[in-house]
Amino acid sequence: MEDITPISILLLAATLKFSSPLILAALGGILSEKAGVRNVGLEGFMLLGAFYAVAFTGWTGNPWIGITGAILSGILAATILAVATIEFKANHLICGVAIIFLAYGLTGALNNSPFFNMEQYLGIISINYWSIPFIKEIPYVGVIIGEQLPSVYISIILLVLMNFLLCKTVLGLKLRASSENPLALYAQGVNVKLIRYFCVIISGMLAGLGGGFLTLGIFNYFTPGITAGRGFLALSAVIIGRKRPIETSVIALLFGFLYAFQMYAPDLNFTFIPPVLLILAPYIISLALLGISSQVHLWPGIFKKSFTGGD
Amino acid sequence: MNNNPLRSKNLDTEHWTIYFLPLIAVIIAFLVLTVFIIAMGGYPATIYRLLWISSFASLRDFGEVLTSTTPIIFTGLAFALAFRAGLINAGAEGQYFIAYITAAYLGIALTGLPATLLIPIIIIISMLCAGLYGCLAGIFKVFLGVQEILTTFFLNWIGLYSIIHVINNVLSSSGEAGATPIIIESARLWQWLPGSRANSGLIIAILAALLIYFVLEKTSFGYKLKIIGFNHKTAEYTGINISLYIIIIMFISGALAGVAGAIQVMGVEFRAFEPAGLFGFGFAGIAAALLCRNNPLAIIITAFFLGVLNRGFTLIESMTDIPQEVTIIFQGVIILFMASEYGIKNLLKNNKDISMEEGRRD
Repeated sequence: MEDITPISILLLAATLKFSSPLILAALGGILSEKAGVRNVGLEGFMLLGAFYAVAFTGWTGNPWIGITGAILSGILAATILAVATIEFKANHLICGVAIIFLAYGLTGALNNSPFFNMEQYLGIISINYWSIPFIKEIPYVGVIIGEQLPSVYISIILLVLMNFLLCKTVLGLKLRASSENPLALYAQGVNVKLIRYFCVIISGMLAGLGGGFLTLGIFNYFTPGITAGRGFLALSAVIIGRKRPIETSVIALLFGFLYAFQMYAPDLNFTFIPPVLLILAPYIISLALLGISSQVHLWPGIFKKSFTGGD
Repeated sequence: MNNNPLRSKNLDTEHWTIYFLPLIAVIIAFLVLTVFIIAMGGYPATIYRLLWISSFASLRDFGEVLTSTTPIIFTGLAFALAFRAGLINAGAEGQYFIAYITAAYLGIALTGLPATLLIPIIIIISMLCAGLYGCLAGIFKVFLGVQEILTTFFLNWIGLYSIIHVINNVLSSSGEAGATPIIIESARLWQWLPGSRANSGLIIAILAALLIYFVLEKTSFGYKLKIIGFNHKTAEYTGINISLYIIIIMFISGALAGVAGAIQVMGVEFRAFEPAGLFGFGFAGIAAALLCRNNPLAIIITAFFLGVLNRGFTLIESMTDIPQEVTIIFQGVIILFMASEYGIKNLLKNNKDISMEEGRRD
């Protein structure tokens, strides 16, 4: 870019960047919600992913090995959640809270241990941006989408795949049935537990991936509790977006915008807003949206009505 | 065995082993902890000896254990009370923060009152603030249909960042960063064990546990809570105003967590420090409550147990490489295990029924 890019364009680019980990985690949240497991553990998966991404990148020097580590840690934690909720029929919410405990405890404890010592990686770990050959040249659009974090592209691809999976495939149908009517699915001879295992574990994988990109792509360091509720923001995006991939992603984009705005507020002359309000904004707005969205019922017209015909 | 998959099973069919489940949970948590200590390069025997010494070697150490037991009793009671009605109050930490800062402010601002008047006033106002903060989650659930777990968790972060802001910008003391000025003499609780910070808050905590036990087990209010927790439809037909009760329960629950915050300022720290992170006494309460299946009296024992670990590992961190956060892992294992209780019971009974998954509360 030879001329100076307007801040509003940078803001949009940052919005995409900040929201991509949220979208990844939210897509995971959609899967487990569709399968009938409320996944409060997303926060924990993201935190573990964030930690192990930095640790593995620090050891090997290759951020993609770090991302693999993030995915693996997410899968491991999700397996614990899956076994507890599916096999032992534990309360989903309390199990999710337990996963958050384990993630905070583990990452907090290992953070300063001589073996990991995360402070030494401060600022030196990062992941290269991907650039798209022709789009990159277009003014403004190139800045927004032409050269971005890999997570932005990955989340767009996964969004399309997820939409296809849920709406067009038999697996998607089974998946939805395992939360809407598991007994019918069982009567069909489908292994409901297997579907739920699959979904919870994939959700752990996606949230871990999101957490990994959060530290490698956005913060470039790790501190305990770095996710600061992003897993819950992803979960509330799922609930506000009614478990639909597109709507959920739009809400996640909004949260990403709030984080981007927090960063660019001084440049945009929004200094009259106290910084603490900008920090609190994602939580407050998410609560407000949760409240509003639950008031708007989008049930089908004949929902809960009896039907008599043919006599 | 019933064959109707839709009929919910009787959860209380007892098998003798289930009485030992909390014990097994603790043993498993200790196993995980031991593995972790070995992995971190520590010697378990040394660490556990230090844990014992740091808690029971002298009266002073024992007093420090009691100091960290007191808030856990309150936050445990807060969780147990809400859980009796089927509500998951994961926001004890946020409610604790609100009372913590309120007490620190009032302890500076209210001068010229005698201690006998000032101390109850500060505790009650802090309780009210924390209760209203907890109440928000109830209001969101009743009027807007938002699950309390989301609300309480968001309120935790809102509380955390708000009080960090207040401590650093509004109530900051001139000398030190990250702390409020020291509260006045007459707002302090009595520290009865010389050399330690054990204070009369413990007495309030034990009285509160007795009171909550009485309310839950012997009054119609407690019985109604049980009905609400068991089944909303039943509660509605019984004529219970569920919405009102949910708000009241969240208020009391928040107020209980609030007492912990007020006592921490008035009896232990005499000022508010900037919190290091989200995980503190509030979340420890969840583990304390679940470990004794939300029995208000037994919470005193489980809170003491977690208090020993809390105090022990705070000290161990300063002496060895083992960080304090291992206690959070310990609590997490306990919560995970106690939440899986139902499934473990089923395994023990070798129950092979087909049924909807239990545990989803909407």
